[in-house]
Parts: sequence; structure tokens; C-alpha cells
Amino acid sequence: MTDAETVVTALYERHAVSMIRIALIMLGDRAAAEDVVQDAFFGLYRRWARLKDQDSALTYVRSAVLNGCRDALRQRARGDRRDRAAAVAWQAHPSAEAVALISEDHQRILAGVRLLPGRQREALVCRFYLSLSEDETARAMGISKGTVKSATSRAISALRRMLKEGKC
Amino acid sequence: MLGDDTGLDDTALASETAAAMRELASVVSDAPPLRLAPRLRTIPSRRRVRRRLAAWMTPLAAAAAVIMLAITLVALRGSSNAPVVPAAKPAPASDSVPAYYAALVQKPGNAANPDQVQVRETLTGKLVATVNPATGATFAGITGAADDRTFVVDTQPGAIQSPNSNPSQQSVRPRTWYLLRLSPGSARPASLTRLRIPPTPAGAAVMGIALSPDGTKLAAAFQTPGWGISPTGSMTLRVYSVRTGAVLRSWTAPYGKDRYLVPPAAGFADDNLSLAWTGDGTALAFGQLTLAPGLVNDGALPPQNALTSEAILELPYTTPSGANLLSARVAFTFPGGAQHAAAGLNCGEAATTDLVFTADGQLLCAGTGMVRDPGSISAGNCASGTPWYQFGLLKYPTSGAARTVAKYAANCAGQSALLPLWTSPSGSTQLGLLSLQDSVTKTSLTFGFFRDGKFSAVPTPAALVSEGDLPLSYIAW
Repeated sequence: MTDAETVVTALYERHAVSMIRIALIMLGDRAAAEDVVQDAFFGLYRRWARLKDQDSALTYVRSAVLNGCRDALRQRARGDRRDRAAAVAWQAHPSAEAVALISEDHQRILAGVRLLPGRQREALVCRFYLSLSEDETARAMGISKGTVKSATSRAISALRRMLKEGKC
Repeated sequence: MLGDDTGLDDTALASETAAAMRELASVVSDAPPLRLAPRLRTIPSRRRVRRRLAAWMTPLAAAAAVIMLAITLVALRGSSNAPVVPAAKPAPASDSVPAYYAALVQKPGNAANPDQVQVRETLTGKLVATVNPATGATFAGITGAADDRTFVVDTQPGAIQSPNSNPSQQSVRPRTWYLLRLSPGSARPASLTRLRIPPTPAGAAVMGIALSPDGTKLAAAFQTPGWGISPTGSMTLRVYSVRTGAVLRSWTAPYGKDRYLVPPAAGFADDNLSLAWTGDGTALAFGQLTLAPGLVNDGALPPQNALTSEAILELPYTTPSGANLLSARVAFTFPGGAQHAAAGLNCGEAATTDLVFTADGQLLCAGTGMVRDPGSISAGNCASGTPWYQFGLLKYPTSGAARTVAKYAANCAGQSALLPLWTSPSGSTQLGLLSLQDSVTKTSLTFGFFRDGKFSAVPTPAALVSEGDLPLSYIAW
């Protein structure tokens, strides 16, 4: 096993679960979340020799996971336009695992989060799940601090509206 | 909490959103192994597709020719006489048969100590995933929701002893509960998540388990103390929230001198057939035995020699905790035992131990015809003509005649039985196990489904092949 393999495998064993959790919240789909995380760590492995700051590997992986989720959501949105009915069905029916383990109120909130635009969804994950500051969120998402603020605020407003109107 | 008007300010909604995300995240407790190779995502060029097709076509054509020849031979053989024994050919694909089953299996020589869950395709028997218990534990039971993807399994420390083979060593060790979730085709086709349901009370034997059709509630029946063929302990039936592990309902039945709840037919703890949710998930059903006048249940009497009647009791989920289980409503009564049911179809002995409901609450009943003593077919028991097994649906809870939905021609050699295992929501398709004895020592197990009155054999689950005591409760759909 090469150094890169050893280090990346060790990082994966330590942090894969937390990364899959982030991707699961973003995507709402366990298999897709695992795929995104696999890709992120594989990307780290391929770029290991060129990585300027190997101590920041975890930050790199987290950004890669968020980027991967963004790509997956974009692909899904393209699919949604082709098949609107399938998109509605996916949003309306959480997995049986979620039904079994998550309270009804929280399922409604998560269904609402899944209906948000990707950027707003990502902002909520960074701010509320990862507890990142606005500066850290801005760096992780590659946007300005002001955009983080507005995305977060709009996300909460949209979530409140969807809950009120019974859309989730 | 969240009505149409949430009533939450931004901070509170943000806080609830964070809590919801944490709750979803807690579902993930492990990760698949890292693959340091790219996933194949590129779309192959047409030229490459053609090249691949060319490479595949030759062997595929040869394989197709062999398959056609085999189908022709099977068809020729089947047309020679009435199909008394089902042809062992692959079953046709069906949307109505559950695609997967999960079975508790054990390594050879490790009888009755399941150390693996195998997930297989129902129609082909193809292995989809295997799941192992924690070190030092064995699986004890499994029960499934209606979606064919959600199951609850329990484990116990050490090995299981079969009550049938060694009654003095009862299966009373505390159980640990897990959610088994199937995601076929994904990187992780099966995952096991420990549930917060508390371990079973010390000294209690788990008599029956049943996951609600929507997968949100687990019903578990315990007997304290221990296990008995004729139960002499008190019975507790609890319903747990799968999500939180909280006890949602708890009912009890005291030790019954003259009547008691039906013990599982297979003699194994953690049975998933003798306790069932009705199809709409609003009530629980279980069997009750009543002894003949003057007889007292002392734990030694085999119930079938002493009962006067068998019944199916139904307990609505809305029944407040603390109610006596035996005060539940009687949905069916079979005077003189289930096999003597005064219904159009003579239900077999499994009528009160294998409870299988359709979505609208009809009860699946397996019975016989053209035999002198209804219930089972055995040598010398045939009346005239060809005996048959049949599945019928009993309109629940009224005690009208069963409507026959499927028939299977049998013969009079040896002792045989048909056991119901699963039904489609509408009742149009049933899964069952035929146990056909060709001689005193040779019994063949044929697993398959009935649809449109026809029987199609499918590969027999590994758990049934490797285990002599027919632990049907080790399989769930």
C-alpha cells in the first residue's frame, strides 16, 4: 500500500460516517450519499501528491462532498425536468428507514429542506448541522459572506412558508 | 408541534431544522469500505457499444439456444400427466411477489444458531447481501414491514437452544433489537442500525414478534417465566416505537389454567407468524386455546390433545395499556380445533399459528380437500379422487365460509402440509411452503407462490434447507 493509500484509507475510516451524514442530509438518499463520499475520497487520493497542505485534507474532502452533492442535485434537477412526476414522488416519499426512525415533525422539516434550491440547502447544512460560522460557510461554499446570510435567511423563510402551506 | 401555522420564530425553526438534520444523520452509523477506483459514469461511445455487443452476442446466442432447449424439454415433460409435483423451473417474473426476503441462517453444523442474515431475491434465490451480528451474538428473530425493505431483527448473546430439542434450556437471554434496511443495487444493499428498544426482561422468553405494516411499531410478546409448550407463565404484549424505543402499549394475560395464548407452532422463540398486525395496522391478532372442561394447563399437556376450541383474538391498538390480553375480541372460533373449522374451506392446523393478513384484513387460510380428516393430507387419509391443498381467504372478522383462491393437487403418499407465509395486499398472490413426504424418511420442501390458481416453485430459502425444524419464522418478506 502506498503512502497515499494508507493515509487516505485511514482518513476515510475516521471520517467517512460524518461525511456520509452530511451528504445524506443534502441528498436524502443513502446510496447517493455514499457514492458522493467515495468520489470525494477517491479525488483526495488522486490529488494527494499535489495537495499543498496535507493537514487540510479533511477540509478538502468536506468541500468535495458538498461539491459532489451540488453536482448530484443538478443532475437530479435535470432529470426532474425530464420526469416531473418522478421528482414529485421522490420528494413526497421519504425512505422507510426515515419513516421508521425520524419523528413526523422532523420528517416534514427534512422534506421541506429537500425542496429548497441547492445553495439554500447547503447553507442550512453548513450553518445548522455543521455549526460553521458565516465566514467558514462562505469559504466552504465558495461564496461571499453576504450571500451566505441571504441564502440562509431565504431558506428559513421558504421553509416556514412550506410548513404553513402544508407543502411538506 | 408543527401545525399549519408553525408558531416558531426564526431561531426556533432554525433550531428544529438543526435537530431534524441531526436525527437524520444519526441513521448513519457505518460506512462501506473505501474503493480507490473511479466509479464508471462515462457514457460509452457508439463504436465501443457496438464492439461490446459484438463480443457479447456470440456467447449470448449460444446461451439462448441452450435455454430454449431446456424450456422445450421441461414443457414436454410437464405435458405428460397432471402436474402433481410442481416443476422445478424458474418462476416467471412478477411485480406482485415481494422481490426480496431476509432469512436467518447458520453455518453448517451450527444448527439453530443463526449467525448471519442473508438477503436473497425471492424468485431466483440470488444472494443480495449478508449481515453478521455483533461478536458473540446470534440472531434470534426477524420480522418485516409491508414495503419489502424494512425489517427488525433481534440478537441474543451466545447460542439459541431449540425448545423442541431441549426444553430445559430455554431461550430467555435478553434480546437486542436492530433495524435492517435493504437498499438493493446500492453500494450498501443491507444495513443494520441498533434500535433504542430496551432489552427483554430477564427470564422472559420472546414468544412472538411483529413489525407493523408501515415499519413504525414493533409488537413483541413475552412469557415470564420462560418457555413452555403449554405456557404456564404470564404473558405480556408490548408495542414499541421503532424510532424512539419507547413502550407505546403494554397488555398482559395472567397464567391461564384453562385457556392461554397459542405458542408458536415451530417451537422456536421470536416467532413472526403467531403474532400479526392486521393488514391496515390498526390491531394485533393472536391465537387462543381453550382446554376441555376439567383439564388444567400444567405445562405438560400438549395443547392439541386437550383443547376444546381454538380462536383468533383481535386487540385494537387503541386498547389502553393494562388491559387483559384474553379479553380481546374473538374474531374467529374454530370449535374442536382449527382443522375442524366449519367453513367452506377446511383450514389447516396453521390457522391460529400462521397469521397472514391481506391489506384489507382478510385472513389467509391453508386447507385441504378430498380427505377424510381435514387439515392435512396423509397416507390413508384420502377420501376419493385426488386430494388437494388450497389457499382461501376468510373475510375478517366474520366467520363466513372461506373463498378459495388457489389449489394445488397433491397425492396420498406420506404426510404433507401446506403452510402460508405471505400474501399480496389484495390476496391475489400467496407465498407458501409445501412439505411433501414421499416416504417415511424422505420429505421434500417446495417453496413457491400461487397466482391465478397456479403454483410456481421458486428456490427454497437456505434457512429451510439447512434447518430440520422448519423455522419458518426465520424468514421475512
